[in-house]
Amino acid sequence: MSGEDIRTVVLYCTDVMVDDTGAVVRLMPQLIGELSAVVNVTAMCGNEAQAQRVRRAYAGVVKTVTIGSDSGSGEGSVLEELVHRETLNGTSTLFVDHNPKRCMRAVRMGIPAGVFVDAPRLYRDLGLWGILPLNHSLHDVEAHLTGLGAAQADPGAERK
Amino acid sequence: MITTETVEFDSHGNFYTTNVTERVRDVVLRSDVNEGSVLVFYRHTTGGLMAAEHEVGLLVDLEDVLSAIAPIDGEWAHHRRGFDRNGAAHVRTAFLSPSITIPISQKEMLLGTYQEILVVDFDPITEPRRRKLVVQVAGE
Repeated sequence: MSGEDIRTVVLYCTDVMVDDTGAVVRLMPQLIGELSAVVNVTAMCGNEAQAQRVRRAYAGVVKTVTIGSDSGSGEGSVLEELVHRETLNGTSTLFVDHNPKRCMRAVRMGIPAGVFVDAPRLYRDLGLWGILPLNHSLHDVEAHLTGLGAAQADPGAERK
Repeated sequence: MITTETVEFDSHGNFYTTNVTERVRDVVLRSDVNEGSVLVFYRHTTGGLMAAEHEVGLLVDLEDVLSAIAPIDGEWAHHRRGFDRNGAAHVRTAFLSPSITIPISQKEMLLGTYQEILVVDFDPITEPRRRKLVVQVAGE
């Protein structure tokens, strides 16, 4: 399994894309903007309200927003649901979640997984998977993502 | 100069890992210490600390190794007292450390590129519990 095999990254929304207050997780729009240029990005939301927030915050970069019956209580049930729906599989998807136990469960089910801590660490992890450019320095990754944010806020910034 | 703070977080136990690297870094940045060290101490008996890569496969491997050494359904003498049934968690804890010391230079923790400060909680709890870390920054 390598980045060449992974076609879809499935993100568990809560605390990865938006937090429990609905606020967008820092630097994630920039990361997902870059990620969606190379793989499909699927957002797994706990309910319709969260899905609407994700669609607004990540408009144009996340094409698939799916709503699961599990909103974060169980470690396994949401994974089984995603496998049943064929959203997740062991050959071409990577599952990203803030809950390390659910990530461990995914790995035991044969599904590649990455535990989410923050956007720079996820970017570096995706680099190690061969999906995004690899940069070992979290400091450099943070600067890169921050720069992307500035460029998105001011499209002419990169030319200045 | 010594600064001591307590960092709290909720843990789900059952081999739940929490990455506290940025929380510890925040304490270092809040302190007036530029050169010295930071001691991170876990104040519980059913978990410990690691300076390790925060990668899911590694966590699965570690859980497998510790489960083989100290199975959750083992006949633990600790259970004979009748107060609780977390003998496996206590035994697994003995294989980790309750504390880590990290050098600080120019206000930066000198962690390796992939070293993260991870708390692993083995307690077989059914509801999240508040956990406490003491973070003590010392130096000048």
